[in-house]
Formats: sequence, structure tokens, C-alpha cells
Amino acid sequence: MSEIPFIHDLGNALDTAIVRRTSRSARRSGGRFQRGRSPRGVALTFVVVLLCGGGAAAAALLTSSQRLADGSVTCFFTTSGTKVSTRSPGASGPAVGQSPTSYCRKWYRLYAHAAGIDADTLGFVACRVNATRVDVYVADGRPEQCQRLGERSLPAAYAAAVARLRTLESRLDAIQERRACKSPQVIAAEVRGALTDLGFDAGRIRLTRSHPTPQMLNSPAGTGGTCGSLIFFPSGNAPSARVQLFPNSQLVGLTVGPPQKIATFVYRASGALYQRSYSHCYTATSIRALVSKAFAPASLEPRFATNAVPRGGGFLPASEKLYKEGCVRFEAAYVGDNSRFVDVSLEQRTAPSLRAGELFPPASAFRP
Amino acid sequence: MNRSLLGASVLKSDAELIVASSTDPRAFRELYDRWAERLLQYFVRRVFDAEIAADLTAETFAVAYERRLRFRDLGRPGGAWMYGIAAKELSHFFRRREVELRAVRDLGLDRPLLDEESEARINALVDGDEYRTRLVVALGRLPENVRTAVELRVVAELDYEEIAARLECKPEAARTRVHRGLTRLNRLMEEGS
Repeated sequence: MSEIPFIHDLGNALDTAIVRRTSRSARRSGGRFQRGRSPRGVALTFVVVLLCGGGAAAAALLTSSQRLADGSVTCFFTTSGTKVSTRSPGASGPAVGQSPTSYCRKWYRLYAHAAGIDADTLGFVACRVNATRVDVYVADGRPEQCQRLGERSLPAAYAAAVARLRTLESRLDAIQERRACKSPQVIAAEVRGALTDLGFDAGRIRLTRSHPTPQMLNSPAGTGGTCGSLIFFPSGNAPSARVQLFPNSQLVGLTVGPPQKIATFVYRASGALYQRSYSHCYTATSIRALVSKAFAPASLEPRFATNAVPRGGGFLPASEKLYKEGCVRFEAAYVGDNSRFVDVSLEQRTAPSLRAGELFPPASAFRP
Repeated sequence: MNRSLLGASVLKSDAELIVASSTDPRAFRELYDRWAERLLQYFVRRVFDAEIAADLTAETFAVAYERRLRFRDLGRPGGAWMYGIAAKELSHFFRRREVELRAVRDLGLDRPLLDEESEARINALVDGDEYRTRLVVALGRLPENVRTAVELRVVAELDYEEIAARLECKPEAARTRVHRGLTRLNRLMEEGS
């Protein structure tokens, strides 16, 4: 078995996706209702907040220099584009709020070592390729290197734009890392304040409920509190704090949920509980003990609701066997009530089914 | 996932597992367990980025799952089939500069967070400076015009028109040079493994 935790996690995520796919296929062929299952037993409460440009009259979210500073940086290893030494594709990427040469230096170090060059002794020059891309070359010591390469020097406002974006990132980080309980609206207002303070046009705020799925957002569980923080979900559903700027569409995208540390913790703990209870038999008592222990490190007090799996639910055969034998299994967890509680949905064959059309137990169903 | 839960036989060949996975998800997990780390290493040695390698691995298995029904056991190693998918994904990444996560999305696969420990361990699969040195040597063995075309495409992200302008050739010729260079580079790296 691999020693890389990611490989284990990806395998489990693959299992879950396959089971979901299999159960969807079964549902299509059998024409029976089955509720959507949350990814690996985890559901958090999200609201996507879009800070929109206020129409045609509004100023651009980012100036041209800021767009460039928010764009990509490509690091060349020699003094001209036609003589670059190959480096990893990772040598090019977004460098928001970073000096391009600082961003590139680590790649120079990586490759220079193999080529026997001391990267720390080299000077660099950054050039503008287009509106969103900067190239960095080893300086050849002669004037107008960018122009000779068919590119342009960076605009005079570039350094200030980098600094401004870096300041914005720090401000946003501070907002999302703060543990104090705030509503999504308050957080959105703080983000707008930060943008305005720093001279960005934040426009007006519009709340949407579109991520990750409308069903999850409509969950009545876990929504008793008003805490939120900014959470961005990358390709997986593992949460990480981030604010996204979309200069083309004049948007700032914020995903609001529990504080990142708690969200990450619940995500991981839920994954482990999901797998554990699908491979071992638990009673109503023993699974509560297991869940309580799992969430104790985050000081989250569990509240439980137990329901039967709707007809047509599909699972791995061994898990299905345990369920039919009366074992109780973990289904999902939702952080609620200002991150003081975690609402835990359990599944047991003899428990009452959810009412028609219900995807999640109602908030009133969750009890300590 | 618990092994006892899966219960898939370790005696089956890769090809047998792929065939069996058409009806038994446990067989696909067994295939995953055999190949995940090898493919992750394959990717990270080529892209030098743990996040990208993780995405490529996820997409490769999602594609493999999608195509498993089309697999025919003709006596060829199942591993070649896996590497074939991996190579195609890698090629797409080099061409487009982004991992195509279509199959991941179609399957509804939630790619897990790459924690610090995983990232460190994945980066360790690169074998440090020794591999990088080999890469530089392999690049040095490419004809200059081919190497430059590869560098402009892969590193500088130029499109073929721009590459052609810089190399003073037609875009079709630039495309051919890049393709030839990547193929040759891959072969040189495989020979050096």
C-alpha cells in the first residue's frame, strides 16, 4: 500500500464516485427515486457571493497593470526566448501579488543546479508579453532587452499593482482566517470594504446559491448559525480559503462556509468516518461514540439524525450487507450554529425514511 | 478502502482486472491500488508539479473507468493500456497547458486535497537532482531546432503561429518539430530510466 496519503484519499474518492455512478445507473434503469449523495459523506453549508461590477458605468475591477500582475509569469532560463533551457511546465503559472523575478527564482535554482549554474548570482529582467503575461529572462546586461526580444518593458505602475494585489490578498486572508463569527453578508461587506479601501471597484453584492449543488445548499441541516468564511473549492471538494478575481466578467467570487480550518477538518474526519462505517458494523451507540471522538479535536459537538436509505440507494456490496444486517453508518456532516455543532446524518435500515422530496433531514431532527 | 471489504484477488492480471471491473467496482479499486503510485511517479517526473501530477492521475483513472468496457484482453499487458491513457493525458497537458478534467467531472470524482505530507512524498518521487540532470542531458541530445521548438511550446506556451514566426518556418513545420521533439524526449527519458 502506498505511503502517500493522497493516493489513499483519491482511491476512496474514486470508490465513492463509482458507487454514485452505479447507483445513478441503477436508478435510471429502475426508474426509482434516489437522493443525491454528498461527496464522501461531507456536506458543508455554502453560499457563493458575487461582488459584481455595477454595470457599464462602473470602473474596471482591475486596472491594466493589475490585470498583468494578476496574470501568468513564464520563467526563461537564459537571456532570450529562443535560447531557453527547458524547465518544468511548472515554471509558468499565476504569480498573483508576487514579483515575477521572485516567483521565477525558485525555478532557476531548480534547473540551474542541474546545469551547474549558480542562480543566485544571476540578474533577471521581466518583460510584458501581452495584457496578462510576463516573461522573465536572465539579464544580458544591455539596455532594452525586452524590446530586442519583441516584448515590452513592464508598465511603470506594475510594481505598485503587484504590491496592491499583495495587500489585497493579505486583507482577504485576514478576513477569512479570523475565527470570529460573522454572517456571509458581513464577510461580503468586509471584502467589499477591503476592495474599496485599496481602490478596487467592488460594485454591488449579489448572493447566489449555486455551489456545489443546489441540493446541498438547500439543506436545512447545519444552517442554524450565522458564521461564515471564504472558502474556495479547487478541483476536488477539499476546502481552501481563496477569493477569485474575474476581471473579464468584473466579478469577485467568494464561497462562504465554515472557517477553513474547521471545514478542512470536517472534510477529512467525514471521509474517514464514511469509509470506516462502510466496512465495519456499528450500533446506534457505538457509531455515536466514534463520531463524537472524531469531531472532538475541533470542539464540535455532534447532533444526530438517523434515517433509512431511500429505495434504490446503491453501495458497495459488503456495505450493503452490513446495512441490511442492521448496522448504522455515517452519511454526512454539516457544520452549523456558528461552528459549535456538527449535524451528523446517520443511516439505519429500521429508521424512518425521509419524506418524499426531502434530500436531507430537517434541522429539527438533529439531537445531541 | 479496507482490503477485506474489497476482497479482490491479488492473483488476477491487470488485464483481467480491467475486464472484471466492467461489472465489479472492487476490481477497479484493485487496479487503482496497483497503478496509482506508479502513474503518479510517471507524471511528476514529467511535469515536476505535485498538484498537476495529482490532477493527471485522477483524470487518468477517471478515463480508465470510462473506457474499461471498451478494453479487450488480447494478451497484451494491462499496464500498457494504463500508460497509454496516461501518455495521452500528458500529451494533452503539454499541448494545452492545462489538465483536462473532463472525465473527472463526468464521473463526479471529488479530487481530494493534496496535503503537505502527500506533496512532499510525491515530490520525492522525482528522485531529486539525478532525474533533473537526466532531463537536461536528454534535452541536449535533441537537434537544436527541435529543442527550441519544444521549449517555445512547452515552456514559453507560445502557439504554433508564434513559434513559426520565431523559428522562421511554417506553423505546420513548427507543430511537427514540437511533436517530434516531445516524442523523442519521452523516448530518451524512458531509455534513461
